[in-house]
Amino acid sequence: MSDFSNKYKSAVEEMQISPDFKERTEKMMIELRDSENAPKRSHIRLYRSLSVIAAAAACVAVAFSLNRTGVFDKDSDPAVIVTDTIETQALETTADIPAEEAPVQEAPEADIPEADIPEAESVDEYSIASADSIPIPDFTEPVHDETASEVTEASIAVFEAPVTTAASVVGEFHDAQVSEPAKKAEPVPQPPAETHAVAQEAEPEEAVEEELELESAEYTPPAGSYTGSDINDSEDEAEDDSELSPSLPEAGGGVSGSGDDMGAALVSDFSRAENFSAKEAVSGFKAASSSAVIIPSVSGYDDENGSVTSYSSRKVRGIKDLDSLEKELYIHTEDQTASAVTAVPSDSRYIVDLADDQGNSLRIYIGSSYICFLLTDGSLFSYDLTEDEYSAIDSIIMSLIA
Amino acid sequence: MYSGSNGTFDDEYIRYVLDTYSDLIIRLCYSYVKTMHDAEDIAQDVFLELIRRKPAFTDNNHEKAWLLRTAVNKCKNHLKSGWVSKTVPLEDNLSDSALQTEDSGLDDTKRAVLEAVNSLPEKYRTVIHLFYYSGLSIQEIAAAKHISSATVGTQLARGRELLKKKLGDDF
Repeated sequence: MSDFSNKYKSAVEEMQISPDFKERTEKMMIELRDSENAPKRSHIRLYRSLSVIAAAAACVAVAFSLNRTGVFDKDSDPAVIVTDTIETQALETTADIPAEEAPVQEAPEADIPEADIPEAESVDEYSIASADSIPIPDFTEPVHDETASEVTEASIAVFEAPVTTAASVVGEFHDAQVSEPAKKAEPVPQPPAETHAVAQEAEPEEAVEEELELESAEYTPPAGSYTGSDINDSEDEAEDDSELSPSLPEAGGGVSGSGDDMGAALVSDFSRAENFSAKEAVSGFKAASSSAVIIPSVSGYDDENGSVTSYSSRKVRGIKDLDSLEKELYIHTEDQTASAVTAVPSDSRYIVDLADDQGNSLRIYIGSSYICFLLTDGSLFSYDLTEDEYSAIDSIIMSLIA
Repeated sequence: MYSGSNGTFDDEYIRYVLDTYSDLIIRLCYSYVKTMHDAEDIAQDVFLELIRRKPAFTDNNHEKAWLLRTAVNKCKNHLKSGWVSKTVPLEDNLSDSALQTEDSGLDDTKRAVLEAVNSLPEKYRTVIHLFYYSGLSIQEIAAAKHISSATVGTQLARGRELLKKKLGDDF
């Protein structure tokens, strides 16, 4: 057995193996080892693909985030969008939440006094609240010591436009402020003798348009009074939407006209209160050639819906209306004697400016208990009115301006 | 010096493996395929498999057993391949020709012993080679061939009987 083993071993060992077997195998093993340690091409391709995919995903994510912020929106600026959003939210908060629940301290308008925040939702209630909260002067106070143009523009500005916001009312009022506090106490200055009438042009929203058939009769200044003036009772009347062009008195009851004989006559005839006659003064304006501008300082209140109604100035040129108005202005004074006053009433509810084509004018202040006539020379004569008498005048005027 | 000692397959370890096991593996493969060229190719593939798998050996016996088992499996796969099974049906003629060309330096006795072993069936031939040339025990052969020790003993006994019949007094 051992002999077989030795013979077999020697026979096998004598079989020649390739002399370069170890070298070739060693070289192949080293190459294989190095290639196994090195990253494979498939892995390299995989890594590259993953890198491209990750980069693309990052770009998409960035683009999506930028798109959400509005960077790609050509019509908007992100900062503006943010600001608008904030402002919109603030406005919505102020508008939607009732005033008692609104976080006044946190809202952008936090510095506005709480009393200034409107508590009502409707426009009319808002107007009421605004009027209560904002120190708006009493509109019933008479406008005095103003120029004719200021009176017209201011009154129209104040009373034509419906009350909308507190700010607009205040702004309009300041624009319409016709006299400074210091001037209010001052007596009405005398108009200059040679002052020419300044034709004021104002455009009321709803002026009465009238087509008048004027008489050919020429106005003749009364000798010392207006009595004797004829009143044309022409029935043709229509509302005239033309421009208001009354020759209103200048500031302080400035005289329109040219300081002619009429002004002098008025001064001479009515220099004393005992001699003044409202009927004569008013009747001097012939309805056919005259006009009246009614400037209300009152506002109505609708009980049904609780809204405030404002009245704007109105020019009356209809003969019928003008005739009835003039008659109402003096009829209550026939049995009374006028009393001279030195200051323009401050609580008048209506101001009526009468004017004719000759440049004559007369301003009449109507209060709840008086009617006061301002002559061209600055003289003021006042009559007392009973409640019924005032109601009669008020109804006539309201029928014309309402 | 097994790979588990330092955990690397550096150039030194590769040279160590080749110096230690190349003859053993080649001759084992020769016992299977009966040609030195195929045996070298299979042995080369075994060592390349060692680099690919990078097994962690616990000791030298583990390392040797892993190489032998891998060589046996590759030889079996080689013999089961279609090319070998279809184009090399005549083992005896090939072995004879191989002996005539490659082992021309062998004397008659050694040539007779080698031819007698190569004429044994594959299962007996491998056991004879591993037992008498490689010096493996029955348990080691059983582990390398993935068979039981009893089977290795049986195959070894039957191989001896066949060699005794062929070699006569030389065995």
